[in-house]
Amino acid sequence: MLAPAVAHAQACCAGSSALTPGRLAMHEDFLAGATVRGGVAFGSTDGRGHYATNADGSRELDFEQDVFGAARILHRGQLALLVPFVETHRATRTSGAETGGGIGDVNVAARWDFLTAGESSVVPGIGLLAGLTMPTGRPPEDADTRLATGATGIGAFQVNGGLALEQSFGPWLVNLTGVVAKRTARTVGDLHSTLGTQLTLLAGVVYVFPNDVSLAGIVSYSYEGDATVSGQNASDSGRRLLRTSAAFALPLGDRLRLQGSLFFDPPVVHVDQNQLTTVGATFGVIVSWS
Amino acid sequence: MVVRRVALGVVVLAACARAPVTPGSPVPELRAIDANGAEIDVRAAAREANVTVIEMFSAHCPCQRVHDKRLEAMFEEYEAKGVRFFAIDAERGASPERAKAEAAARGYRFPLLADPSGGTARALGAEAATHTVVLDREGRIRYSGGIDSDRVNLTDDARLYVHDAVEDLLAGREPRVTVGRTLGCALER
Repeated sequence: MLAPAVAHAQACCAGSSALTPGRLAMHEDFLAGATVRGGVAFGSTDGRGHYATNADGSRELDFEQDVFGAARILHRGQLALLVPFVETHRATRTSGAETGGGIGDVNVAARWDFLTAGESSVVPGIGLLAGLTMPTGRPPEDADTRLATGATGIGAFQVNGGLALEQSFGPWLVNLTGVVAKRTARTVGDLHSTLGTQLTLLAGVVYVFPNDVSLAGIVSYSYEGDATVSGQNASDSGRRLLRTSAAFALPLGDRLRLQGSLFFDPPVVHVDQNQLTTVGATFGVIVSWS
Repeated sequence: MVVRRVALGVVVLAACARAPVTPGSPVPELRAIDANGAEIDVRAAAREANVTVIEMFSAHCPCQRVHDKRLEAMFEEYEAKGVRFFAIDAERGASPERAKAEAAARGYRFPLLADPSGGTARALGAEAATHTVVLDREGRIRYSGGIDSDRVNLTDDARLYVHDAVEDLLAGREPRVTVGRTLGCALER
C-alpha cells in the first residue's frame, strides 16, 4: 500500500497523499482509512496484445473496498496494513450473469525514507519500499461458479521490493516509483505453477494549492512476465497494463481528508497484454493523528 | 563506481540530517540577510531583546500562510513588551528580493530575512516550515517546535506553544512546554 497504488493517487503537507492514500505525511504518526473503487471493463487484450471491445452481451464491473491503517516507526519509517474486499459482476451472452466476491489478499507494507523530498536540492527524496501480500483471498480454482466471480486473490504469497524517488519544487511534487513483485509457486491439481515476476513503474506529478488541496496526474505501467507451469514457460501468459489516473486530496480539518481518483486504461495495441481495459473511480476517507 | 558514489552521498546526507536543538542550550550563530541586503546577526540581536521569536519561513507552504495571522497577532501583542520577531527564509531560492516581496504581500511588520545557505535551518535543527524557537534574554533556546498544535486549520482549542512560551518567559517562569511538534511542510534545500 505504501507503494503508489495504481487505482489511487499528495508536495509535503498534502502532496504525497494524493499519490499514495495510505502514506503518512511527515507530521503524521498514525492514520486509518477506507477507500472504495469501482471500474467498468470496456475491452480487453489477449496474449499477443491484440485489443478487442467487449463481445455483445458481455460486461464486467469490478468493485473493491479497502480498509487500511499506517503507523510511523522511528522517524523515517512507516508500516501499513491493508485489508481489501473485492466484488466482481460478470456477464456473458452464453453463461448469463453472476456476482461474487469476498475478502481479498491482505497486504502488509513498509517504507523507509532515507531522504525526504526537498531535503536536498541535488539528491531527490529516496524511499525504500517493501511489502508482503498474503493469499487470504479465494484463488481462481476455488471460485466454482461458471464465470469465476468468486475469485478474490491470486492464491500465492507475493513479496514486493521497490524504490521511490521524489522531489518538490515549491508547490510541485514529482514522483518516480519502481516496484518488483515475486510470487511463490502454487500447486493446483497436478499443475505446479508460478506467476511471472511483475515490474510496476509509476510516474506522478502533484500540484498543491495554497489551501492544501492537491491534484495529481499519474501514469503507471505494469509488466508481468510469462508464468511457469510444471517447469515450462507458458508463452503469451504474461500480463501488461498501462493506466492513467487523475487524483485529488481534499483536507477537511487537520486530521481528516478526502481522496479520490479517476482512472482509465488506454487501449493501446501491443502495450497491454491479457488484461481488461477499465475506466473507473476511487473515493476514500482518511483520519490521521500527529 | 557511480552507484557507489551516489550511495555514499545518500549516507552522508542522511547522517547530516538536522539534529534537533536542545531547549536550554545557547542559540548557535545565526546570520541572514535583510530586505536591503544587509547581513543581520540574529544571535546578537536576540541579546538586545527580552524574548526573541525566530520562525523558519516557507513561501509556498499552506501551513505558513495559515499561521501568518497568528504570528502577526503575537507581534501585535508582544512588540511593546520587548519581544523581537524574526522570520527566516532558508529554503532553496531564498533571496532578499523574495523576502521583501513575501513580507510585503503578507503584511509582515517584523523582519523576514533571507538565508540562501540554509545554515540557520540546519543550526536550529528545523526540518519543517513554521518551526520556531523562542530565546530568552541570555540567548538560550527555551522552546523549539511548531507555532501551535494546528496545521492548516486554526482552531480555538489549539495549544499555543510559542505564545505560551513567550508569556511564561516574560512572567519570569519556566516555559510550560519546551518542545512541540512542527506540522508544516518539509523545508526545501
